[in-house]
Amino acid sequence: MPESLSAQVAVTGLGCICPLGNTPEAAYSAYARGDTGISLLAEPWAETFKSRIGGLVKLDMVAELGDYLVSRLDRFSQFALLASRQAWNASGLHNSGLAPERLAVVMATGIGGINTMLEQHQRLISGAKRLHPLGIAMAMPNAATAQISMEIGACGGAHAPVSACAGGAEAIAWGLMLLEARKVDAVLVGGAESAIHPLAIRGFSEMRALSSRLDDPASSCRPFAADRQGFVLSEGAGAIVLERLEDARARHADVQALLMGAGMTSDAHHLATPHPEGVHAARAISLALRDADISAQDVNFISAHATGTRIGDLAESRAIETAFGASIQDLWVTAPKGALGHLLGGAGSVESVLTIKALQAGVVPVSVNSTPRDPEIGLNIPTASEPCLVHLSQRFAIKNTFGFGGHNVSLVWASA
Amino acid sequence: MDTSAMTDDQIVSQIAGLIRKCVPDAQAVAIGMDSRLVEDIGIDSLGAYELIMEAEDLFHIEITDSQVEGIKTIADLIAIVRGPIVQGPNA
Repeated sequence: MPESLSAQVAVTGLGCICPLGNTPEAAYSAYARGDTGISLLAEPWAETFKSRIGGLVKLDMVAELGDYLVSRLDRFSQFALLASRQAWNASGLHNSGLAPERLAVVMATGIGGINTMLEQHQRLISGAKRLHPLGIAMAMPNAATAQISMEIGACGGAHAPVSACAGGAEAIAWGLMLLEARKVDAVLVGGAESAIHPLAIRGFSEMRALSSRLDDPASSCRPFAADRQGFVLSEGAGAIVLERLEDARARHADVQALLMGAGMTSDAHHLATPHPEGVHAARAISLALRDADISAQDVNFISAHATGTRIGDLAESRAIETAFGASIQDLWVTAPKGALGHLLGGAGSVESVLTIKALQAGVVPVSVNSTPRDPEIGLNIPTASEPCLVHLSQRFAIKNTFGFGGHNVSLVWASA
Repeated sequence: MDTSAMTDDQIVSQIAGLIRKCVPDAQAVAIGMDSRLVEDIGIDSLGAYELIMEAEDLFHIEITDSQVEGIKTIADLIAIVRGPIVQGPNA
């Protein structure tokens, strides 16, 4: 165990709303069973679309939040709020006497309130006399973090990093830095997305980024597989409460995992495609390992970003090979998006929740739909016929997350 | 929504549903014909604007700005909903 562990950061609350389940426990149970949350989109607008597959959250939002909040929050903010309530309640911080000025929120999104923005635009062009008076405030990318700050009374800052699909992990990295710099004593971090809208589906489809395997939606997202076509858009949110480990122990909190370190880099290469060799993605992994004060050999598994695109999966594979060198022989790499789909700005946080639950269980989750393996990808990938258990007292996992625009974020998680 | 065959109580019920979207904790407020939007229901200026928008959408009417100024109670709003109306674009 590294000497610096006492200065590390504890996870004291988890929250998750996603197509696999609407609590961390339900989502992980489905994930561990090898279920998928992906299905054919039944909306009339999707009928003529080449790609009409998605991962939808199955939840009655009015029953969960009431008419007022559903009316005042875009769907991405609704997910963020529900996941945050779970994490906040689990943390026990609401009863701890923590000063509001020492509590922050960092909640990311990739696109923000696209549903509200386009609904209001539709009203405008159809000649409606009035638009929703809060339409702009509901659509802004910081709407979720603002709402959460009001709900939990966080006056130490409310931030909303926007870095496409890396946002959910970047929010976690910012939370780590806030705690390490002692700017605050606790931070609720996460990411949320709700972009299953015709404009987003068509937009990604025009980029040739989406899978169009309509005959078998559950197997349509195929990370690292030879026959992968692209990703599947999903929706939801993940939330995590972080505190310095010393503080969590002092108040006898239930420490669920440790956030050991983070690495963030940028490709400076292209608006939508990663650097083909994954040079700076590899550097993000190496920086995260260094920040965590562990070596590549200590890592049990990587929860890959692996969206199921030809270019992205190959670049990530090369990045992992570069960062791990010879240690790659003992490393397992699993890709949650085969089961979960791609939550864009919510991906890094929901997948971190699933990674933490896997660390607690001592299991490397099966990489759903990753066979037949792409021969160009030389990673150890656990499959249904080749599962993997981790039998170590201290378990480490890396969560990789990359975003359009060349944003690379790697996090190192450890079991408590 | 055609209100010609609806009782006042039925319209109040519909408007109460709209108010739940516009006012936090509206469930705890008893809403009747004489309820005042600001003093009794606690609606703020943005909520009032939202209520007008929702009422226009639900009842397929257009409420003029001068009519909006005169809406102080639920009864005032119902009078507009029932009264001579200008058909809105969604009618």
